[in-house]
Amino acid sequence: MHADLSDGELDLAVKELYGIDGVTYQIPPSIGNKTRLHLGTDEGFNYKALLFKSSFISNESFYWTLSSFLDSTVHIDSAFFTINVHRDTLETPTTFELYYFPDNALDSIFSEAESNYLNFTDTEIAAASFVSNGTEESYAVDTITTQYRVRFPAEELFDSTFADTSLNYSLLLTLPDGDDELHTFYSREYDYTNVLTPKLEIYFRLFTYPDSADTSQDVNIDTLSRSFYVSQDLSLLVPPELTEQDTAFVSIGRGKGLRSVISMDFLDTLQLPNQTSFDKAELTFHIVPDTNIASFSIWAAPLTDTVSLSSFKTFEEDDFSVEGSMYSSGSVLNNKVVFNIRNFLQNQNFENVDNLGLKLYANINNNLQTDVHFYSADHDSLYPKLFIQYVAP
Amino acid sequence: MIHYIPNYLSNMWLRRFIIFSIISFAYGQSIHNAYGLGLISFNHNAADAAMSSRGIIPTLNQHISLSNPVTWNNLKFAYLTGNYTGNEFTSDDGENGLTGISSAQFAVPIGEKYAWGFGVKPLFNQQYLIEDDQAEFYVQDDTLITKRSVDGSGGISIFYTALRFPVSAMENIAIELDILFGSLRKDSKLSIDQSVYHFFQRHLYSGSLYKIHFSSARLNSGKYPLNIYATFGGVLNSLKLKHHSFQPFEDVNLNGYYDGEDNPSPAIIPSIEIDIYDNIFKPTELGIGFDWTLNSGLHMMLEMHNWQDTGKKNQTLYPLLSHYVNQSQQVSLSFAKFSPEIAFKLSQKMQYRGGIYLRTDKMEEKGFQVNEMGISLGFGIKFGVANNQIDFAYRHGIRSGDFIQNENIQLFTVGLQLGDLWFVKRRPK
Repeated sequence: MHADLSDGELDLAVKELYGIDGVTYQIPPSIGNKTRLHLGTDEGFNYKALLFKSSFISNESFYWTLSSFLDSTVHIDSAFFTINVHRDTLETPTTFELYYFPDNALDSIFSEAESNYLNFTDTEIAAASFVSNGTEESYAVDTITTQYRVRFPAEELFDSTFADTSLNYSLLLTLPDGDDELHTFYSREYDYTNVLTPKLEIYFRLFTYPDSADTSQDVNIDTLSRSFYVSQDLSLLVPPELTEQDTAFVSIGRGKGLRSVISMDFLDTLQLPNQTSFDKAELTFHIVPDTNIASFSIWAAPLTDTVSLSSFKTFEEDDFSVEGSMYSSGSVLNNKVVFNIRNFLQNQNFENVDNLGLKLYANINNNLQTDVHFYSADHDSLYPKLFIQYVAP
Repeated sequence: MIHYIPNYLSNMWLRRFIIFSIISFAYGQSIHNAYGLGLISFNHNAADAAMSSRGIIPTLNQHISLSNPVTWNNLKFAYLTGNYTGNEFTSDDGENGLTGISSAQFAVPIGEKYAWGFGVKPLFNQQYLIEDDQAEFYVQDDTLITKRSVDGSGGISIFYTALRFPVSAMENIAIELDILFGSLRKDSKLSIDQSVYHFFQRHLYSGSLYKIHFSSARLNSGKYPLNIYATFGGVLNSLKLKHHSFQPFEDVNLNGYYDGEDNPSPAIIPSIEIDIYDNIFKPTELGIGFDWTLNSGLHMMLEMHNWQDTGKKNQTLYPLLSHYVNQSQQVSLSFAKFSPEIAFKLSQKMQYRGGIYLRTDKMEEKGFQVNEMGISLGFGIKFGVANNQIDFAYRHGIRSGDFIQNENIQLFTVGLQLGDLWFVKRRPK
């Protein structure tokens, strides 16, 4: 049958909403899960050291741990800490320095997720003890492929407190003084097959006696090797000074640790029907033109606590927690970023979450040196907008 | 083992009958059914339908109407009655139909002056699928194609019981209590380009009505004896509606159900919204019928009936309310040739009925009405020692009005009455 249902029970409506405010804040860059490690200086970003934490258990066997090599029946022939270098050619090999932390009794040298240039300072670096130097070298993976690496002699670690179970298994890698060229290495996150993962390699002989009570008799000798992959690795990055744009606009940058908090107070008075279903909810920001931005991806996530931030501020850590199930991702395209925040608005309208604002921060895959700046609510035309298209009874 | 076969066969027949009854409800019906509470049902048995009656005049046998309890004392046996009705509505908009059980009743005379009975019958039924034209929605330099439809099924039924007793030598009264119950399930759909949104709603109805049936034999004498019947009905507890409003959702996987792939996710939605609306349906009715006996077994009857609903129907509950019928008036003239109480020949066992009617339905929207006129025919056959009876009825009508033009209505009803002796002292063997 046919009838005019224009006064139907389900209506489609749209709204374009303004008055979206944003404030930028800075935290130390969090780059522990990056797939590359950097050492040196690049466009004002100073990667002053690399930190590693070795696994205690060997890759080959649960029975072989770092402390296994303290046993008198084990004779270490050679040991190396190996890190693969990301480069195409090797013209002038660079020499690096490897350190460890024998004076620190607990395994609390660093945290991949939390350590940064503010809480791991020159004081902590100075506490490290020199192990050895390592120089870049090439090696043939097969008849076609050549790879590059640095191998640090590391027998000394097994004569020291490093292998003792009560101590840390952390290593520090730096450039010699005066060298600030940027060097790039493969981190443990690069390849989960572990082919290029930084690791400790130990080549040794194992002495076994037929009669364990009499070591003067004949001896059986096995020549073996074990490897220990790193379980954490981190570039210690010191960001450059902020620019005026960084603090004046709504700014996002991974290397500089720039993040922003967005408030949409009008949502509290929007008074949409309780049973509204959002068809679209697009939050659009227009970027301040920057020809250097080829691609940039940003997360938007609803805050779980009230944030009082009226102007730019620097923090030692990011305490602004977000609702983990309502992330939205947007990418710079045509000089703007559009976030689909339908899930957040739907939950906010259902009163599952409060309207405490959104946190904008860079995706981990973005270039560390790239920052994006968005116009805020005071721009005359390119201010942020929220477009909603919804269906409601 | 052989004793189980008839039982098995009857179960199989019953199962098929139930399945057929249920399936047959799956057809749509006239657009009338989509409005407000739906299409009100006035004819519940074949005898009434054959004489275009709304149940006031005696249509089953001489001085007996299945719908009018004040006549039940004239039943010679206790009767179990069932009726099955099929409707067909044809117009330029297409063809619609609805079939289903239209009543089930048990009535028993107690002596010659009293009677009691109970039964179930539909009051309103709704079974519809309505679609609107596509519409364009302009937004952000884009054009969205939207289309609305609404799909509903359900209705309100009556469980009734009635007691008949005399108030004087010539006058009798029956009091009927109607318990209303039922539900409507409705799915309003809105498609936006390729997306489809569903809005499921459920209405649960409850309420009660009363009816007083009156008969007088004061003029039942002379050459053309006349019996007069009247019915008045009103509200005991006006209809209450419990409205369940489910969360509208985008049917992302287009399976018609709300599941985890749809938007918003069922996991995040609040509990169902339930609202209660009172005074939805407040009907009053008044009817009067005249039954002249022209000669032995031949009757001429005139019936007039007015039904009006003054309930408050919320526009948000009933978006198509403007065309809801809130007043219906009918006048009918009918003839019947009833068989004698004791009949041996087949020709004596046959009963013939026919009638014409004029009906006016007034809409919720002031000034709008639909007029209907039609004829009805039917016959019945008595069988068995307990005067069992099977009746058939056919009615044809045409209605036109402010928004319906020349809609043809065809109704076919079949009814079966099975009698037995109740409340009679058996002779000792």
